[in-house]
Amino acid sequence: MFKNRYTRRAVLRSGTAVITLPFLDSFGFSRFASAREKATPTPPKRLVFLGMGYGVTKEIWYPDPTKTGSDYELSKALQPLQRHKADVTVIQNLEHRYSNEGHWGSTFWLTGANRYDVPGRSFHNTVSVDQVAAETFGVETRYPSIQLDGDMGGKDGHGPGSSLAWNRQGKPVSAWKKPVDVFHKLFSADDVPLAERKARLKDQQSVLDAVMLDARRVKKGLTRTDRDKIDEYFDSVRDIETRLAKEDQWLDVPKKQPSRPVKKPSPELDGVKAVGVMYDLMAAAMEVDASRVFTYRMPVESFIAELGSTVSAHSMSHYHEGERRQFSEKRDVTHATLLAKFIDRLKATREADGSSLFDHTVTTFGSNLSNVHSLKNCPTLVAGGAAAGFRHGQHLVMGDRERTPLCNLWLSVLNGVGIEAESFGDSDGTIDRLS
Amino acid sequence: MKIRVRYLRGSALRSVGNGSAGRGVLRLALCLSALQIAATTSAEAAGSDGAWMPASAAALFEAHCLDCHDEFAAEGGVDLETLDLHVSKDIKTAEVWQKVLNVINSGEMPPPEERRIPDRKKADFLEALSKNMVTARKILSDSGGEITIRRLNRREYARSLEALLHLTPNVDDLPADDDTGGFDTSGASLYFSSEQFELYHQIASDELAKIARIDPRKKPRVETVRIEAEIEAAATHRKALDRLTDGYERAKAFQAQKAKPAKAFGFSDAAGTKKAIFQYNFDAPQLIDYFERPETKRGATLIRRRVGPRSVTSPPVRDTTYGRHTFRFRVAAFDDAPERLRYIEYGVKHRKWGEWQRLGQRKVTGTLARPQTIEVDVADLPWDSYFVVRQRWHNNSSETWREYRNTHAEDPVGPRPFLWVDWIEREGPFHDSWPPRVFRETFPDPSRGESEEDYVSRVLTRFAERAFRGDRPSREYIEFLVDRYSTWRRVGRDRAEAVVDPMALILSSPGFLYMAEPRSGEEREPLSDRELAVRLSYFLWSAPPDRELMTVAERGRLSDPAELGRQVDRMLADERVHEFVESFAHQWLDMGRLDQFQFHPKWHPTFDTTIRLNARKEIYAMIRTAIDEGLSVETLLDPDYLVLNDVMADYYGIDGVSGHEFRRVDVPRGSPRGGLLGTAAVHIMGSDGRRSSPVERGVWVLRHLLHDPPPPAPANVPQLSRLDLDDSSPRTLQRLHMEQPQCAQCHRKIDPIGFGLENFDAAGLWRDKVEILEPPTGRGMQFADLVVGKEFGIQAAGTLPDGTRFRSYEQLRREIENRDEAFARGFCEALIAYGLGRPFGFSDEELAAQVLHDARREGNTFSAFVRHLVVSDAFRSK
Repeated sequence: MFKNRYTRRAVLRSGTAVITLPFLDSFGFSRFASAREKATPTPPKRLVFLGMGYGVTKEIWYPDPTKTGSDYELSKALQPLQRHKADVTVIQNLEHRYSNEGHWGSTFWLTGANRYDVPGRSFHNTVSVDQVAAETFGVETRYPSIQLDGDMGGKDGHGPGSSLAWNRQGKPVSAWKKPVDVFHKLFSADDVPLAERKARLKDQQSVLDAVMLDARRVKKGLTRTDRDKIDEYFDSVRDIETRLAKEDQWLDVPKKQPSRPVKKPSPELDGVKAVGVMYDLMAAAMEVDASRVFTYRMPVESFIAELGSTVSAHSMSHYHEGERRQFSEKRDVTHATLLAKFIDRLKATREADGSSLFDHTVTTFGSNLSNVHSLKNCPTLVAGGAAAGFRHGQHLVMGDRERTPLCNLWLSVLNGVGIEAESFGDSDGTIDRLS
Repeated sequence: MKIRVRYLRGSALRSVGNGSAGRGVLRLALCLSALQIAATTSAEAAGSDGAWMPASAAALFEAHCLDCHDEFAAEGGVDLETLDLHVSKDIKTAEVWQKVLNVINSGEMPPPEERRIPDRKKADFLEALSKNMVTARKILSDSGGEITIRRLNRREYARSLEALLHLTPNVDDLPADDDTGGFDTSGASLYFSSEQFELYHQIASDELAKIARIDPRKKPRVETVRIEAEIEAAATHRKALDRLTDGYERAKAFQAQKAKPAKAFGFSDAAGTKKAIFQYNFDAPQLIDYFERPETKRGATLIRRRVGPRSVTSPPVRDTTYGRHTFRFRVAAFDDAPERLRYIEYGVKHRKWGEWQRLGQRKVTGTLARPQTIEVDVADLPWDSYFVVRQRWHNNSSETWREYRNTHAEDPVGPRPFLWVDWIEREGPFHDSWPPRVFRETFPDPSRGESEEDYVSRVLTRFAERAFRGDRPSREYIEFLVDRYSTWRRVGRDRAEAVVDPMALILSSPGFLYMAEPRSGEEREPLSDRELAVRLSYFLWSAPPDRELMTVAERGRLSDPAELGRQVDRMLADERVHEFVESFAHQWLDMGRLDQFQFHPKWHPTFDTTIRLNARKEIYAMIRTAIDEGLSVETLLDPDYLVLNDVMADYYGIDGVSGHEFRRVDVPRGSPRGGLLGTAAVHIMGSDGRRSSPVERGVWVLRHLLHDPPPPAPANVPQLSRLDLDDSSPRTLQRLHMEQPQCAQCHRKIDPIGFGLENFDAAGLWRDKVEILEPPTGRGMQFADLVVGKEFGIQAAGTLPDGTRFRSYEQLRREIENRDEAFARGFCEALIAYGLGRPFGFSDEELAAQVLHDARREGNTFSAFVRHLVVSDAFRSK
C-alpha cells in the first residue's frame, strides 16, 4: 500500500481530504517522528511537587537544626529515607511572606501569592511554579502537566483549589482524582476510531464557536469589573481550545507503555494505597514521557483512616499527646516510606543514555503548613535532579531571624531545570547551596 | 460593653529621637448612634475612617521594638517607627501589621533577649490588632457597593434547569461554590474554569436527552405492581441456611470418621471443617428462627444479620418519561421494639450506578395485629431504579458486628427484629398532563407550511429567551445553532436528538450562566423591571422568575414599591422559598460543620444519620415556621420557641409528638430545648464527633448570636501540646488559654460561653457531668462496652464579654436572648450580603441601619427584613 514518503505538500493537502484510516496511521507516524526524535537525545528534565496538606509532626520531622550540611542525621520521621540520604536535601526556615491561612496547606504553596492583593476581592491567587515550568516543558508532551488530587472532601487541610496548580490567571487547574482514571488517561488505548475522534474534536471546536457568539453579546454594556469577571469565561474557552489543539496534535500517536507495567488500580482505591499507586503511575508516565510536570495533592483524611485513625484530619493536626499524636507521627513515617519507594522506582528506571529517571527529576515534598496551624518553617524535602546540577545529601537551615522566601526555592528549581526566570512570586534570590 | 479607645490619628507616627513618645492627633472614636449601642464591638473598631491602632500600640513599640526596628536599624526590613497606625491605609501597611501580628502571636518577637511584653498588655495589643486586621481586610476588599456580575452558583444552576425542564437535574459533579469564605451568591468570588464549562455542557445534554426521548404520542400507562416481601426474603434466607446446613453436615460427617481426609468432604483441610461448624452455630439459629415465626409466612421481618438489617426493595421503575411514582408499603413494628428503632428509612437506588440515596424516614405505628400502610411520592426516577425501605440503623459495620456477636453470646438466635414488612408496591408513572409540560413549553406546534429549519429556529429562539430570562439572543447565534441542528440531521440523527445539541449549547452560554445587568456607562443606574425580577427571584427562590413575576415586570409594574412588596410576600409564602431558607441558613449559621465529623455509635449510640439530617431540618423548620407565621427574627433565640418532628422529639425525650413533619411544640417544663441554643444541631456543630468543643461553641455564639465575631483563628500560635488534652478536664484547657497572652486575647471571651454550654454532649444531648469514655484495654476486650475513664463536673457559670455574669446554661441562654438587637443586626448584614451578592462592606452600614430601622417598626419579621432590603436603592440599582 502506501509507503512513508509523503512530501510536505501532500501532508498539507491531506488535511482536508477524506482519507482512509491506514493512510492516516502511517501519516501520523511520519508527521510526529520528528517531534519524538527531538525528544530523545538528552533525557528531559522533570518536576514533581507533592503537597501533603496539614503539615508534619514538628517534633519528629525536622532534623536537629544545629547539625547542618552533609553531616547531619535524618529525623525519626524521615528514617525510611535513610538509603536515599545522599540524594535528598531537607531545607528549614522557608516560608511564604503573605500566607496567613492556618488551614490552607496547598492553596498558596506553589504560588506564594497574597490572598488580599486585589482590592475588592476576598480571594486572589497567582500562577504556580509547576505551571510556569509547564509552559516550556509541556510543549513536547501529550499532557503539558499532570495534576493529581486525592482530596475527596475538602477536609485535608489543602485549602481552596482543585489541585496544587494555578494557571496564569490565578484560577485553579483541574486534576485527575482517581488512580484508575489516571491509569486510563495514561495507558489505555482509545478504542474510538480515529476518524470519529477527529470529528469529535472538530465538533468541540464548533461548540466553543457557538458559545463565544453569545459571550460577545453578553459582554456588551458591562462595567469594567464585570468584563474582567466574564473574561474568565473567555479564558476557559481559550484553555479548552489550546487543549483541543494539543489533543489534535497527539490524536494519532499511540500511547506508549512503561517497561514495568502498572496494574490497573481498583476504582475504590484511596488513602495510603492510592498514594503508592499514584507514585507508580507518575514514574511510569515519566518513563513514557507523557508529561514532565507533575503535582499531587495527597489525601490526608483517608490516609490516616487507613492507618487506623478514628479522628478527623483536622483533629489530628492538633496533635496533643495521645491518639492524635500517634497518628500524626504514623502519617509522617508512612509518607517517608512511600516517598523512599518512589525514589527507588525512579532510580531503577533507565533513560536511553544509561542515567536514571531520578537524575533528571526534581521532586519536592512538603506543605505550606508546618505543623498544627503554623505557616513558619514550611516542611521541605527536595530530591533528585543530579543531572541538572542539584546537590543533595544536605540539611540546609536558612536564616532564622530573617526568613527565606519559599519562592526562592521555586526560583532555584525553575532555574535549575533550565527555565530562565528572574524571579518567582516574592522571591528575593535563589538557594545557592542547592546547586 | 463599650470599648471606647482613643484612637491616634495622623499620617504616621514618628518618635523624635530615642525614647520620646509618639505624637499624633488624638480623636474620639465613633460617636454613638442608635445602631452602635447594640454592643457590636466590631462595628466600633470599624470607623468609617478605617481601622486604626490605638496610641498605646506606639508606646508598646517604643518600649519593646524600636531598639531594632526603628527607622534606621529597620532590622529584617521592618521599620515600626514610621509604621502608620492607620492599619487600613493601604494593602502594604496592612501587610506590615499582619506581619507584626504573626510574629507576636508566634512568640518569635520580641526575641528572648529583649524585654518581655507584660501579659495583659500583650493580650490587649493582640486583641486590638487582630480586630483591626479583620476590619482592614474588610475595608481594603470593600467593593464600594459595586455588585460583580454573577455566575449561577451550583444551586441556582440546578433550580434554573429545573424551572426550564421540570426535572431535578443531577449536579453533583459541579463544584459546590461554597468554599470562597462568603456566601455562594457573591459574584466576585464565583470563578469559572474550563472544567466547569465542560460539566455544564455535559449536564445539560444529559438532562435534555431525557426529554428528547419522550414520545408525545405515547402516553405511558399507569400500572400498579406489588411485591410480597416474604418471597425474596425467604429465598435469600433459605439459600443462606442451606449453604450453612450443608457445610455443617459435611463437617460433622468428616468428624464422625477417621479414614478419609477433609478433602473428600469438600474442605481444603480440617480447620475448614471447624470453621463450617462455627459458622453454622453462629449464623444459622437466626435463620431457623426466621422460618419458624408465623409472621414470615405473610411478610418479612427485617432481621439484622451480622452485616446489618435486611432491606426490602420495590419492583423496578419501568418508565422512560420521568414521571412521578407512588410507592406504598405495609409495615408493622414489634411490640418490644425500642422507640428509636421503630423508624423505617426509605430511599431510592439504581441497579447499575446508584448508591442508595436516602429520601426520608417514617415512624412505624402499626402493630403485627394492625399493620399500617405508608405512602411516598417520588419524581424523576430513571429506568431501572428501585425504592428501598430499611430499618433505621447507624450503619457502622464494626459496631453492627459487635452488637451481633454480643447478643449472640447470650442467645444463639442473635438480635431480634424490630420491623416487619408485608408488601411494597409501585404505582405510576403519573404526569399532570400529556404531553408533559416541558414539551408544550419547548416544542409548540409547527405553523402551517413552516420549514423544519424555520421551526427549529423558532423553537431555539424561544428556548434561548426563556433560558436567558427574557434577554434576546443574537440572530447570528441562533443561526449558528440552527446550522448545527442541520448538520446533525444531515448525518442521520432524528429531530429530537439533533435538537438536544443546540439546546445544550444555550444552557452552556453566558446568557444563561451569568446574570448580566448591562449599563449605559460606568455610573450606577436603576435596574430594569426585568432585571429586578431576576435579582429578586434568585434571592428568594434561587431560580428564575415565574410567569407571574415576569408578567408584572414586563408590564413595568415591578418598580412600584407597593407591587414589589406584594411580590415579596407572595414569594415568601410560596413553597419555593425553602431554597432561600435552607441555603441562607446553612451559610449564615455555618452549618457545613454538621457534616464534618463522624460520630462513632460506640460513643454516641443514639446519634445516626437520621439525627444528623433531622437536626439540620429542625433549624430550617424553625426559620420556615417563623416566616410562615410572621414571627420576628429574634424568635429564634426564644427559649419557648420549639419546632420538632417525631424523630427529634424522641431524640430529646419529649413525648407527644407524632408525625414526620415539623411543627411548633410546647417546651416541657425543665427541658433545656427551645431556641437555637437548645437545638442539637448547634451543639453537634460545636464538637469533633467525639467530644464537645467549648471553643467552637463559644466562637459560634459570638459570631452568629452576639454579632461579635472573634478574629479568625490566628496562624502560627504555638500549640499547647504538652498535655494529653483528651484526658484532662475541659477547664484545664481554659486555664491554659489564659496562660499565654496570644491565646488569652480571644479566649477570654470565647471560653466562658463555650463552657456555659458544656451540659450538651458532642451529639447535642443533655448531661449533668462530663464522662470521658474509653474502650477497656486487654485481650478480647474489643467487644466490651466502653468504660468511664474520667469524670468531671460541669461548672457552667461564666461571664459574657460585656461583664454580665451567668450561673447556668439557662441564664446564659436568657442573657443571649436579651441581646436580640445584636442578633438582628448580624442577621441583617448576612441577609444583605446574601441578597446583594457581595460581601457586607462598610459602604453598607447606612443600608443596614435603614433596613433595621424599618424592619423594627414592623416587628422585625423575616418578611419585613426581606421587603425593606428589596425596596432599597442598593437592591434596585446596578
